[in-house]
Amino acid sequence: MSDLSPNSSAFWSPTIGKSRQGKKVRADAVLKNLCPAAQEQIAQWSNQPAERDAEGQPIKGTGGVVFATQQLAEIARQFSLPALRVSSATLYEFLDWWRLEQDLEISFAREEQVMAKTGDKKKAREAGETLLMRLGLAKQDGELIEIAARVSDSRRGLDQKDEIVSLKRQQVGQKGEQLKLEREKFKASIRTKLEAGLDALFEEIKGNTRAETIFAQLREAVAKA
Amino acid sequence: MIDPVVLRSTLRRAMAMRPRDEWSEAMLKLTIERLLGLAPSALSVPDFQTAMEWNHARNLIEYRYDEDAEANYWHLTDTGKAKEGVK
Repeated sequence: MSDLSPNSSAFWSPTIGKSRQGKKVRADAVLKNLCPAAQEQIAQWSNQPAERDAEGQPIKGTGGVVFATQQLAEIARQFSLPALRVSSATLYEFLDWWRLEQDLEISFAREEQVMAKTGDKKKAREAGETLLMRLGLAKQDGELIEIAARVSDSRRGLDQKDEIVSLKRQQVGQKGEQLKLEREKFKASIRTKLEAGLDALFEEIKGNTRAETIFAQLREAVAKA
Repeated sequence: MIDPVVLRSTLRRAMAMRPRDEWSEAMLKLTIERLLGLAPSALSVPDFQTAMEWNHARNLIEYRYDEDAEANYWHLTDTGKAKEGVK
């Protein structure tokens, strides 16, 4: 419930289905069953940059996932919700899932928008799939962006892709520093293309508050990628 | 090769993220890859199809062919939803 206050116990209480009540619930399932606003708050804590000391070094525990786990531990203590005391590994898993869920929401919405606009279901399906692919690429590291984008762009047969991935990984290992520079350039070009795509997408979702909120988070994620 | 047992359950876990929606196969495959931390297209089509068939044979997922989209659209059956604890 989005109208709950973050300072209330209900805001931080997971909604576990009846069939699951009374059973031991996995730590990541607890986070996945929090209300969307609580999940967003956790993601915000995790994205918060760490403070820096006089020498410019990040101060441990003032940002990122460590900070988020500390905040959750404090909430667990405050509202007697021990299930919210989670490890960094659990939080990382939750964040991956949460980002994917956001990407799915925007991709399915994109499909619906293209369908409404063009009436072409095939085009709509492809638009949703392409967006999800691009969002996934934006979150991968440089090496995987390079491999996957090349594979995707050339639209090679799916059965050849394992082989290509393996080959490209070998090349990455051999080229060393030179490839590192190329990768940086490639990342920059991917980001530029992605941002252009995002601009176009924003034009289409303008007016839809929910989509715009997700879009803002997406843009922030792309900027950090 | 990805453990087939992991793949079967990940497939349902992916669909459970949006249990009311219909999934194209490409969308589903991309989602599974993200859940497993794989690069796009890293999951082989035969492995993916085997996992689909396994779940389909047990009535956990179902599909319909959409002629306009020229694609199969998949969804969790009621049995599949119950197994994943979603509505």
